[in-house]
Amino acid sequence: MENKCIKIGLTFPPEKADKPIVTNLVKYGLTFNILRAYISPGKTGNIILEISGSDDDIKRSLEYIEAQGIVVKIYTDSVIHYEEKCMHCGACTSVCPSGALVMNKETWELEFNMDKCLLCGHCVRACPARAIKSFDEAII
Amino acid sequence: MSKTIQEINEKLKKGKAVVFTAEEAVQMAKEQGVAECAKKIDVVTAATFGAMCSSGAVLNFGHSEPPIRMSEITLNGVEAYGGLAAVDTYIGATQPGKNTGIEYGGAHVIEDLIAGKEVELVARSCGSDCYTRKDIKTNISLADMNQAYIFNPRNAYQNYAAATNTTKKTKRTYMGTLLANMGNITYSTSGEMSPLLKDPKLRTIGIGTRILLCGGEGYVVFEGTQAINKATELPSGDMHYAGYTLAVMGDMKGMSSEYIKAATFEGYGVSMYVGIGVPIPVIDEDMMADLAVPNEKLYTYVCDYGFSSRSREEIKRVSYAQLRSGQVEIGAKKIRTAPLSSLFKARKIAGELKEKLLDGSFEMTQPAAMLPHRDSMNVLNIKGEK
Repeated sequence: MENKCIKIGLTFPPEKADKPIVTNLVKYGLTFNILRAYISPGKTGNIILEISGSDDDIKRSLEYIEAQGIVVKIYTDSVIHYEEKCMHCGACTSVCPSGALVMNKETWELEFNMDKCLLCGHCVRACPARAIKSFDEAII
Repeated sequence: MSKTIQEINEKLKKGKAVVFTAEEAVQMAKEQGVAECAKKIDVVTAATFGAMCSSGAVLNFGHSEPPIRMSEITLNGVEAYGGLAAVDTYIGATQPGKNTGIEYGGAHVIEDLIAGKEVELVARSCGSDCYTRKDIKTNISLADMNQAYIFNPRNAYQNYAAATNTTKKTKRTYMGTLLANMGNITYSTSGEMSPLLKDPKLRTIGIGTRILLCGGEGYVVFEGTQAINKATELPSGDMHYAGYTLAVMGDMKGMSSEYIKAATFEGYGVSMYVGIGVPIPVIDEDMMADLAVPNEKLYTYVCDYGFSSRSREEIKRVSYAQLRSGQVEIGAKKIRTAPLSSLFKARKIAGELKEKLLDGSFEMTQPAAMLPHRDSMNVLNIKGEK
């Protein structure tokens, strides 16, 4: 069965912020990459993960996480590049760590590849035209 | 062989002139040589679209009834200058908003006006016998104003240092976010399309040269502030030009928001991306030789923006071809490069100017005076400080 790779955001309520839960994803047959993890002053925990596994394994593990009282968000377009506002200057490419934002060397237009995006959010602040936005506070 | 601007304008009128964009001219010169290009091409269009902080707009609102002599003025909460006559003002691009800070400043007001939006005008006055009104609050659009023109004291930098940061901390600058330990290099010149790199000796661009400014008709009106003629001959025989600038003006009512863009540089401030297109007549073979210089032979320095000093350390001289390749080597380190000025937009401007010249909607002007040569630039000494 083909493996799928998705990015998810987990919000831990204060009473769960100190519990080891993500590690159990291995038991569901998933591999994961922690892109970001922090605990806010109010003890709410946030983790952004890239997980991969079969559809079934992903489904079962998300059910497990939610059963622990953790809110799951699946990121598909949480960093949005507004092409009509973009002037293709390239400022965002200078801070993008993964090559998700690159200049096309023929047309010198900006290209955005969400699959490569690590959801670090550096581009949101680096864009002079404010053409890149994220509605998720966990990212910016 | 030599041609005058007048002769070329005649050819344009008859539909017999040949106009190339700067990139097209560079390409043709690589294939056919400079002499052949000089014979065939009449005009080359150069262009740039980059952040130009020294920009702003002169506005006249017309008089209210009863009238007011405005002294404290804001437009959408951004302060405009109140030291001109009753209803004249100048709004600077870098002025941050009183409540919006660098997220919405003078450049954003200018962009909104050009886009046809209404902005809120609030002004106060101490009042006088002839101007009795003491405050005013209304909405106004570009169409409501009498004169509204862009007046940018320093635009179109001939060349600009590329930026890197040798310190251990990320620096937020007008050259973008510069990562620690030379983590990146940013550059901001359109290279082989840049107007003053294509006419580096200022042989054709002068006071009164008609240009495309933010998509509308504009003019070179003076030397730009801090203009200096720097020319260095390299051992290879190539020239490294830098330093000259232009002051430009143009009617906002003919401009397009596609070619002007307000910008926020995180941790630095507001700026404005300005689009400028300049027609350069191929008056002789020497002119064509300058126009034919490609990115491989146009240079700038990578400078250290990690420290705040008026003289930045020049780390390495690099060509625009190297900068555009995406990677520059300094010592043993390969450093990622990123542009800050939009080559995509510069190309569009050069292409649009070419179309306008060919369809007769843009005629070249003979400069009223040539631009002065500047050997040096003064610094500000703090008198009395030891």
